[in-house]
Amino acid sequence: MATRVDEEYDYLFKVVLIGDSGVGKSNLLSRFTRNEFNLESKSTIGVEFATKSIQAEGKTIKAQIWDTAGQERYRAITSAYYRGAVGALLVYDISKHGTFDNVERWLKELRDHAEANIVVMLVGNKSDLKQFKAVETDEAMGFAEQHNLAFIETSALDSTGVDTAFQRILTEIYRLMSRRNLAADEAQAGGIKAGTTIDLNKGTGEKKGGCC
Amino acid sequence: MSGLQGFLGKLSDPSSNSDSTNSAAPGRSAAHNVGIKKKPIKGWDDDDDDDDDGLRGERITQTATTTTTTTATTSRPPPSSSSPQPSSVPSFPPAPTSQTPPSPPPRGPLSPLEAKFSKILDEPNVNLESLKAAAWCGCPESDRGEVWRLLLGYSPTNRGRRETVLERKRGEYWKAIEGCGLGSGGDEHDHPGITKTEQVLLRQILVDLPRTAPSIPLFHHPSIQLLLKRVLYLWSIRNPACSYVQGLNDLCCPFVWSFLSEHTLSAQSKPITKGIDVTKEIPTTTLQHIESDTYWCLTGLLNSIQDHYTPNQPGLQKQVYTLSKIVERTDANLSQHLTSHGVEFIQFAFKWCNCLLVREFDVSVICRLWDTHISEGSEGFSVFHVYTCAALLGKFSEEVQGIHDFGDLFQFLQGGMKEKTEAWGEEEVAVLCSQAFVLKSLFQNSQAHLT
Repeated sequence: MATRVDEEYDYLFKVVLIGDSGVGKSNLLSRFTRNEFNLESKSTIGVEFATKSIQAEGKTIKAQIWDTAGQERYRAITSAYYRGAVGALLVYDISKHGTFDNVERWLKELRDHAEANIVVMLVGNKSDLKQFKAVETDEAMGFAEQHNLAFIETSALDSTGVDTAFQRILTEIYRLMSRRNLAADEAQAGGIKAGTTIDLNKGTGEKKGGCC
Repeated sequence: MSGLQGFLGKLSDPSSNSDSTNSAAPGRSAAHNVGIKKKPIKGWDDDDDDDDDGLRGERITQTATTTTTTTATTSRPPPSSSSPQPSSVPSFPPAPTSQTPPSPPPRGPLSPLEAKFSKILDEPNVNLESLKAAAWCGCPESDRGEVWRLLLGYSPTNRGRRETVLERKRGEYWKAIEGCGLGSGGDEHDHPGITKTEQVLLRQILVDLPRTAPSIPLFHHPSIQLLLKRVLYLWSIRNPACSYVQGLNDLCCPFVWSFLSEHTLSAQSKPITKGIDVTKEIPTTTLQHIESDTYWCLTGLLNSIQDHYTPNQPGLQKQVYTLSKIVERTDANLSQHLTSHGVEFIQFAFKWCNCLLVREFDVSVICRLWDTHISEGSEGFSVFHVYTCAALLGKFSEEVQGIHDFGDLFQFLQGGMKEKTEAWGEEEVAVLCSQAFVLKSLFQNSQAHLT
């Protein structure tokens, strides 16, 4: 493989994909980064990784996405990848209620291992399986509101919502980061806005232009 | 380390062993040509008079053991390959080595390699050391199943006892399956006899089954899916310290492949195909044998690497660490290249050690690679494997060093390897194993160099 010159980007955001095994994390990633879907892809062992750049509010954002294994046994390995992540897509399968029941446990995982202010989006995947829907949209939406999470339903199979999900979380991260910078400025001037709840850690969004 | 690299380079020269591994005599790969002898592995060989069949750590059902003991003095049942019936567990008396064993089945014209194996396998008592030495360089497909059963301590070395013991073990398997509450039903809720924990376990297995070797239709045949489900479930409930770990499904594939291949070659004189219609071409009895053999051989393999799969996977983490140290010593440039680009060994080698390289090679190639691993005895997967990984990485060192983007590097190490090894044959595997052997010879007894 030839050396590839890094494409230009303004921000680099690390995002993790988490959730029970078999909910479609790897396919969400492959649909988003390569527009590919594989009905019977292999299970993820440890972690996998892919990147994609998007445009948000005139900026080029490069998403570095870590896809983690869903099985409990791998938690010790996968939780190490939460470090430095500014976003998490917490995925469940809309046709398997058990995977939604476990969302709370995954949130705890994030609380224990991720940065405090990580942006979390709840993703109900496999929305194409309408006839097998086991988790109602309202139920998931209510849960998301209660826990202050963004929410979307997607189908990696027919692409519904996939780009939107990534676009939304990355834009949200970018906005919060800009707001943080603003808040920092205001703090210096003596006042912090009460509504600023998410404070992304320094160094997570690295401004970079041109090749290395 | 330039001397070592020069040496490895020499070994990788195909002309140095181009036709050695496939021929019957001397049938030695480069490692043997350099005159390094392998030590016999202690504590792994099947003791011929040992009723335990060498499958240590496996719990044998009380009923089966009792049946064996009480009927042990009755006359020897004729060797039979009929369907194992859980209700009639066969038994055997100790076999005197002087007895005349049943004649081996007639074989067609043999290749030199097959002739060599035939000679070893047809002995009344198989000499495991000779078998290991021969299998280290690769087994003929027709004999692989039998060789693996012998080397993994499942099949006894005494030919007179072999059928009887296998029949007993196969019976034990089916009895255990009957007792574990697993039917042939659909999802985890279709098995009312199992506990909540077992339901969670079964769910995980069911999620992974359709994702086993997706590119090979044979593994998606309903009979094979059911086979895998039962094997994995039984192994998991009998080994609760590990239980099922994703990737164990991959480890079943080489066994199923080899045993099926053994059947198609002997019964139909044709090699196995990836799209074989199992229902049409494989008799039910044979499939039952393949299932129980897969279970026992998987058990034999996993007994040596249990700590790969216990919580936090300490054995696996240690192996990955050792790999990074070996590469640091043998290929400092590569090691530095990975480090400077932020690539950690755990990120890609975790899978190599968890799935024992099954995902990095085509199934036929992995079977050949496992011939060597299994011939290394109980250290094949716990020790030799890490040197194989180091040799594999070394093989692609230049290519890896030519990649300068973290994402591309990661992509290559994680999935790109399979594409690269697609065209591999006997020769490439032989070179890889030889290099692994050299690395092991250099470092295994000098652990201080790897800390």
